[in-house]
Amino acid sequence: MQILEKTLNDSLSAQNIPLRFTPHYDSLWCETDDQTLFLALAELLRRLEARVCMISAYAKDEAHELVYHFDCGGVMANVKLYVADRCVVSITPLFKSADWTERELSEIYGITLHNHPNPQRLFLDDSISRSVLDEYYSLSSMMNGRVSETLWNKIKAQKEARHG
Amino acid sequence: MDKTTVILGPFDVALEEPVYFKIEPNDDARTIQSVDMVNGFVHRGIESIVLQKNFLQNLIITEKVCALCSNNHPFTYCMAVEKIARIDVPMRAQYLRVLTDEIKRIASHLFNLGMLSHLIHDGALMRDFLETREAFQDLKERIWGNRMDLSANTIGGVKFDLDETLIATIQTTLDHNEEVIWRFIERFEHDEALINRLKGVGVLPREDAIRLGVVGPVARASGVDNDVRKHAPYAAYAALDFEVILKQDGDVLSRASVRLYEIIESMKLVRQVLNALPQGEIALHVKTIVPEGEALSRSEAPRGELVYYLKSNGTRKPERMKWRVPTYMNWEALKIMMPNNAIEDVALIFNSIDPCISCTER
Repeated sequence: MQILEKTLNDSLSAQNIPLRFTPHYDSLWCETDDQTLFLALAELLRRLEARVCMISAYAKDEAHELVYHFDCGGVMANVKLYVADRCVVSITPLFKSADWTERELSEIYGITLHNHPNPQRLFLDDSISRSVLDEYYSLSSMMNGRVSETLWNKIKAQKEARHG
Repeated sequence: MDKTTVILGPFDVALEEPVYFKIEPNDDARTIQSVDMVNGFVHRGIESIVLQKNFLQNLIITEKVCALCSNNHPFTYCMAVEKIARIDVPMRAQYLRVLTDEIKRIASHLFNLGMLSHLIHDGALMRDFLETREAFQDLKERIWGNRMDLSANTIGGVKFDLDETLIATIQTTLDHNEEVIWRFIERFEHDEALINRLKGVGVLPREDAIRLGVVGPVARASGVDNDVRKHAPYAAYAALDFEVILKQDGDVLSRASVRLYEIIESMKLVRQVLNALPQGEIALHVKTIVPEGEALSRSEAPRGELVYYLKSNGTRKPERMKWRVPTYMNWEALKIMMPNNAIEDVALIFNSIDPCISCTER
């Protein structure tokens, strides 16, 4: 991990990118709110043959934090990006491995992806509103309970029609 | 020839779980030109549910995300909690966690190989694989009292221990079945009919495997070495000796072969655990108050790398908890594997990534 930390930080310095990785537990962490710097950092990680393992998103106050988890030679390099306006530049053109996880955070948190090659819904149907995680859906209204209720209403209506 | 789009799913007897395939055939109407897949039929919003439960309750929920890799979810989740809470898990528990994971891996790989046999209509081979798997299902029942969800892990250690009788039972099960696995390997390497049926089907070239970031046996069958147990060792793996199985052809046969040899490696690991099992506690008696912090953990599930991210704000419930399962990364590879293969092989190729839709969609 120390070797990767030095390699990354030396490369960032060489390219005048004002970001630094620091160790925490058994992985490296870095933070920024500048999407241009983030993209430069992603390009650097691509040259180091990193892959995107996952992107974790969560709402923070009025904004969002996205944590990009890169595997770089067996060490996790985590980059935390603060997003204030629900818009983020896509890194899928650099990392095909980011494709699904970017689409998922977009549909769950209503974050718009710029420059994503295929910004379609991943799991959720188009009829469900964006940023679905901000709303509460009871399971019964979404699944079998809803089916049963709809079915039962039909049965009751038919029964009433038969018996006047 | 008729070039009608072929539809498979979302619910079909050839599919273990719901997926909707839209297959565009080539001009011969028998082979695949391209394939599109629609997901989301078993999306349950579990990542939202876990934010409403406390850390101990989430131990139970993570075990229910998936059946076949049900041990890896609570195991990896526990590792994330333990990192934030700075809990040093006792060594005996670390070894027992390895034992649990490897027995689950053996049973999971045998199930996938049984399904492969079913999809090529070799009923006798399917029976042999599933009979062998039964020995490990019985073993799980003896050790943990359950055949699928083992409830082996807890925050700070494990919930079970081994006595001399159980150790002898595990050794007997391994002794009886290792030879059986070698006979399967012999068959997959020398049975011409079987090789002709599987060789060259659903090829994923190495460069595509790297580009897509695929994981697990799918990656290793294309020559990509990213076994988490070796590259980022956890639990007791750093102290144990095993080989990462690599093949180069990237086809259905290679993926089956990787799984067969991995069963042998898992047996080696289980034997080492039994021989070197440290004395001591199986769990620390910790409170489930997790301090503020965030951590990432990962493990090598039967299908490949499983990643958990956990963020705590010091309350009883997580602020964010996210996980990414192996099938999530392997899915897009189907679009490389399938073109120019026979339409009738869609389910066979799909099975060769050992898909878990419930895990993937959560």
